[in-house]
Amino acid sequence: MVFTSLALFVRNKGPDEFWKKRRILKLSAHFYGRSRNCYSLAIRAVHRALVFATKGRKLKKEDMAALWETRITAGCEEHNMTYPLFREGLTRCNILLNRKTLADLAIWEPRTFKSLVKVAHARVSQDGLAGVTELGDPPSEVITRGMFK
Amino acid sequence: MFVVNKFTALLASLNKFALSGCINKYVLLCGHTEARPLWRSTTVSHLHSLPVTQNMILASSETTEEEEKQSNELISKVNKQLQQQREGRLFAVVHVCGKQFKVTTEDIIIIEGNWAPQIGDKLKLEKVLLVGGSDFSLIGRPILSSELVSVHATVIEKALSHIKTIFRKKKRQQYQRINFKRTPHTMLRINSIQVKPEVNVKKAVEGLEGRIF
Repeated sequence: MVFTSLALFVRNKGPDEFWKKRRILKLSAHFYGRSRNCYSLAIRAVHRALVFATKGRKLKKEDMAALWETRITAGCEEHNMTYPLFREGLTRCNILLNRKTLADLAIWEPRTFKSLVKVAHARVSQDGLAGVTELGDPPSEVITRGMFK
Repeated sequence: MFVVNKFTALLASLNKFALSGCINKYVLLCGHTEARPLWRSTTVSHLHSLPVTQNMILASSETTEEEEKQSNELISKVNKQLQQQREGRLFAVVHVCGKQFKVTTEDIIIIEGNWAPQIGDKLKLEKVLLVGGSDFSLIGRPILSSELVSVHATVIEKALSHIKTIFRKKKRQQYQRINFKRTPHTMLRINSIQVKPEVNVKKAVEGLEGRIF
């Protein structure tokens, strides 16, 4: 059939509606329920996801820093030293290892970490800081790798 | 193994702080027990004017004979092991472009951002904070001398990161922004980590290596 005039009340939104929706639906392919297939729901979910991803990049750095601090604290406590004293001792000795490195050493290089603890301990006990205890074994409830020999 | 045990025994016996540098005032050898006020090595102002030997003499009154002997024994053991090339696999903590990396040989590290070295360039990483092996560790205060320690690397790849989508939205305000970002990455392969058997060797003049006259 040949139409010589335009059809009435028909809107043409554009030629690439399909591809615009496909761009969103590709991102929502792994979502739960109708949000992965129905465009109206998917677009809301995808926008939220992208906003969370953007904000999360900053939070990830904060989370990692907190994780490193926890790990270094655990490494220090194995030798009966506290994290703030450890950090203070190292900075006073002009040893500028950052938390990421210290956490890696605490996990993968236990002997080197132990020597760092001893360095820091020697310095803080020499300087007479408060709360310095003798280096020694970990608390009684704690089991460390070195015990299984 | 033997060096670490010695170190623990030594440190246990000492009441005072027991850490110092070698000739390289910025180096701290773990297990080295030459006692000297730690604050001396951190005050940089007079170190440029005074020769290092003079620095050591100033503080030597605080070191006991026994401590000196023990520390020298330890250092000679380390130097001996390095000379015989029995140190095994070494790791180093290296500072590159504002970040610290714990590396060994054959590692690949990624440096983010615009960085001049091109593919195939051989680099010597200067800022080494720590070098360790199974028997000893050398801790820099803050960095180790590049005459003593050398970390060599090669640039193997220069690429862009994955596409990072920056999406900002304020709900019900008709405000929505989307941007895409790819940061340049440089891949470095660590070729070797070498330590010369010259720990605590007093040179007449420092800083001459690599200089062209």
